[in-house]
Amino acid sequence: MASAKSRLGQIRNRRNWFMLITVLAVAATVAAVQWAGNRLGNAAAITGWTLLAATAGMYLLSVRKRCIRLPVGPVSIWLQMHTYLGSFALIVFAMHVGWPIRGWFEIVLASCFTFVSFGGIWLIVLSRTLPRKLAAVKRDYRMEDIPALQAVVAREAQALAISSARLNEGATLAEYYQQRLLPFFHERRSRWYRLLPTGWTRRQLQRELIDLERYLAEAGHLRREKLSELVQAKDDLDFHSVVQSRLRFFFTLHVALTWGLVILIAVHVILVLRFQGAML
Amino acid sequence: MSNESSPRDVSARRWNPQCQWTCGYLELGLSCRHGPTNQGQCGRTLEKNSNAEAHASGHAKDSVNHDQHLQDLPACFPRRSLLSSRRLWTLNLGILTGIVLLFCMVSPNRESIFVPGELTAKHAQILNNKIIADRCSSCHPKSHGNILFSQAGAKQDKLCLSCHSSHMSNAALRSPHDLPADQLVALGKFAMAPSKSELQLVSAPTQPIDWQNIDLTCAKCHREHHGCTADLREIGSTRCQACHKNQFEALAKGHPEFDNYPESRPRGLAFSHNAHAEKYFAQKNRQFDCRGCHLDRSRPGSMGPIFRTLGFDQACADCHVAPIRAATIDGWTLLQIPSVDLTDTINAAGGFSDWPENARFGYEGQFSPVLKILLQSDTAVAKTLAGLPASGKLADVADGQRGSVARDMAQAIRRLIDDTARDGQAAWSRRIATTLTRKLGRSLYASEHKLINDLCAGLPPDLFRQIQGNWFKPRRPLVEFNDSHTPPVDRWSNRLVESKFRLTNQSSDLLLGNAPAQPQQPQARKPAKIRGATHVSEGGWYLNSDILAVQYMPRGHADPLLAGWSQMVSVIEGGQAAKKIPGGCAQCHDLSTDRLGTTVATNLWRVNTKPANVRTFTKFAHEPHLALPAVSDCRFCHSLTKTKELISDTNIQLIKSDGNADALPNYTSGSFHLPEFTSIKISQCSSCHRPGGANDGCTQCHNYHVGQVGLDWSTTDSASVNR
Repeated sequence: MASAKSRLGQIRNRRNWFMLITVLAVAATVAAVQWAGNRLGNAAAITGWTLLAATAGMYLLSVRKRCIRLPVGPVSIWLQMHTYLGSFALIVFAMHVGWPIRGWFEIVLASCFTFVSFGGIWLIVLSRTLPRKLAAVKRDYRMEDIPALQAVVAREAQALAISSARLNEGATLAEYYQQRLLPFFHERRSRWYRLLPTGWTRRQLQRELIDLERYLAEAGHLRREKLSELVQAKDDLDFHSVVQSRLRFFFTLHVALTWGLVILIAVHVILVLRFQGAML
Repeated sequence: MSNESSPRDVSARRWNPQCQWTCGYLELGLSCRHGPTNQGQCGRTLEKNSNAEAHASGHAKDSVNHDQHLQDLPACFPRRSLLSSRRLWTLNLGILTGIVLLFCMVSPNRESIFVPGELTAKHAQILNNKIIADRCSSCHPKSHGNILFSQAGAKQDKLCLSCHSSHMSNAALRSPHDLPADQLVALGKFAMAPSKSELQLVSAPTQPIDWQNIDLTCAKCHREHHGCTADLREIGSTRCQACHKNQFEALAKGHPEFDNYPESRPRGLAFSHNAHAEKYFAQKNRQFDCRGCHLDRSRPGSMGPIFRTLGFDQACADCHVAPIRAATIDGWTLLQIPSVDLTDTINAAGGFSDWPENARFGYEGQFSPVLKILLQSDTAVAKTLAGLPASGKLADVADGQRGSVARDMAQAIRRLIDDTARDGQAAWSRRIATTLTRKLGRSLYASEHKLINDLCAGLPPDLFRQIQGNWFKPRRPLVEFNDSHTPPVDRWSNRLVESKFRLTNQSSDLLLGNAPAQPQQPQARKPAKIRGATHVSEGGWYLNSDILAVQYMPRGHADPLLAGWSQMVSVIEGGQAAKKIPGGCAQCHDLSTDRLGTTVATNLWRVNTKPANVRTFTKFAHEPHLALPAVSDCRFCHSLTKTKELISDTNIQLIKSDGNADALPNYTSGSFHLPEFTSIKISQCSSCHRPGGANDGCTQCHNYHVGQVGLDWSTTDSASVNR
């Protein structure tokens, strides 16, 4: 317990340091821009090079992930640095671009940068909110395990439904399984569920299963309850799958656009240097 | 790659997050413990093969028994892991981006794709024309060619100036305000002088600047690619305040108060606003309206351009044509034969035997300033001229000296007449040039020679031959009219020619001792009394036999001869002498010698209006202001100083120091040097020009690209020498 508190304190301390450094860096950049503006300097060059350096710094997280054997600190610190560097870069970006942004290439570049930046911010938001949502589910599931688990649950449900038909208590559960539960266990959830996962379908099915109780004998009651648990398990798995997929989708988008952004930034830098006459 | 575990066992071994493939049966929960290979092949198939080989060789593995429940399933089709899918997406997106960019770079419309914003309307043709292939190169010297290395070309500014140097000749200096270093240093010292006002301190640089090495590019202030509606001349005030010392927030907040603005500088036109407003217009019971003289209503548009002064015809003629005409109705006497008392003994040997009969009744005559100038080159009379009274009248000469002065002057005039009759206009030109050279103490400029030529142009030498023949008794034969000379046929001098031929013949006969019979004289005809206004009503030279004078009839306002002589007399004899020339040029036009200095200005008679292509440090457009009802009355900004204030002690001191003390306090030509208008207040401007209102930036009222031309116009008298 004490070590957990100590670790929490370290994290907070680190966060404060990063925040302080970010604020100081923003202030220094603003002062430099002001200084350059007051001396007929090229403020866009200052913000441009700063932005380039900050963007390059953010790519260090990707490098760090690949260098798993180098003693350069835990990834969490690099991720935190990446986050604050991103915030700094977004502010410098706002100072760098001329408003409104003109030109097709400049619009694409700015859009890409904005998309990546806000994608990163959204990822931060998701990484802070989704664990709380997932914690509402009884068990934790790894994304990689979910398909297999879903298959297992589906097989169990099917086996349960088939076995219920052999109890000489009628085929109520089996018919219900065939009509209502089979699509639920074997098909992907609807598009609306993937956009906005709710327990409405689960609750509906469980209510219907409860309604079946009067048609079932004692053995049937046990299977109905078991089916109801499997519905819950399947819904939990679906919920985990959707929420984790969402996080991974935005992460994939963030990373994928990042490398497109690298190319666009390189072209932008070459064009600027060339058209300024700075490049030979 | 092992993934064999109970599906719901969270403590079981995990997937390697770096693996590229997952089992195809994963979704069925039937994945094997081997998992796919790095190449994406089913690991169980490979294991079967290896086990078969091992079985054949007697080394079968035990592991084959672990996936007994999968024995009946065929090999799976492994699927990409999440990591691999993400990397594939990233790679594909990167490649797609690169391909699209390459496609854009080779596209014929690449300029419109990569241009960082539209050009301003005036530059838009550069990118949109179909003449030039590499259009970006028109402004960006290294924009085309090899991606990384291109030929060293001109700097961007040179490309700007290739079009703009014609109207900003000094912009190539790339220095502040397009001024050379020495002038910038001088301006800096001027602004930093301890006695300077707060307003002048504004123009002082913030920190010491190495003027010699400063290099200001166009792009420091002019930012292109901000859209077709952008104005490249809209420069933020921070750009100005980057150099200038006394920074202030806005016009309404901190701008120093104007110091005598509009500046009251000597004008070429001696016009007293106060005198006209309070006296002359009141006498005529007319309303004093500024627009009457400064607004050209004949121009198209709701409001014509504002002029510093309209021309005489539009602004002054209503009142001033008649007085000018009246002042010149009797003509202008340039030269008059003085009357000499031949009974006086001092004139006995003076050579006055041929002196006109009408000029022998005593000492009388007046010598005009023009005559004085023409005679000053005559060394024989220089001393006498110096002793002449300012009035030029013989009557004002002391009694004891009058005879000798009259004699000397008469002899000099006779020599002038003879010279002019012989050499024509060249005689006058030579005499004026000699006098002016002596006065200025240097050789003459071309403009001064031109003025002399203008003064002599139109002068008819035959008039002087007529004088010789008609007014003076024959004294000697004129060399140019001897027997061998074909008598000129001239409608101006028919009579003279006849007379001179007669004289020549007489002399010849006298030398032979054979006095011929007197030829029959033509019937003497009593000449009609000549009045200039009727005799030469359209202007020109004529002889007035009544008063024995050479006279000139001016052609009204702006007569070139009167104007030229007024200017010449003003330079040589002084401003007061110039006022004696009829027509009153010097009454309205400032011909004072202190203003002219020791030079003869060429643009003296023109209103000193700034040419449109000259940019001074300060600019102001009257038209948009006068269109506003609130400030449509000029007196909102230009309020006249009251007469009592005008002749305050301070101003009297000012005038005395300028040597024009005699101009006080009546409305005479000197009073226009006074500051007639009260200085404009900042509050008058900032009532509209404030944040949220009309633009209050520095460049709203100030020009940056001033250059040598603008600086000269700002800081020197417009009547400076035009060599």
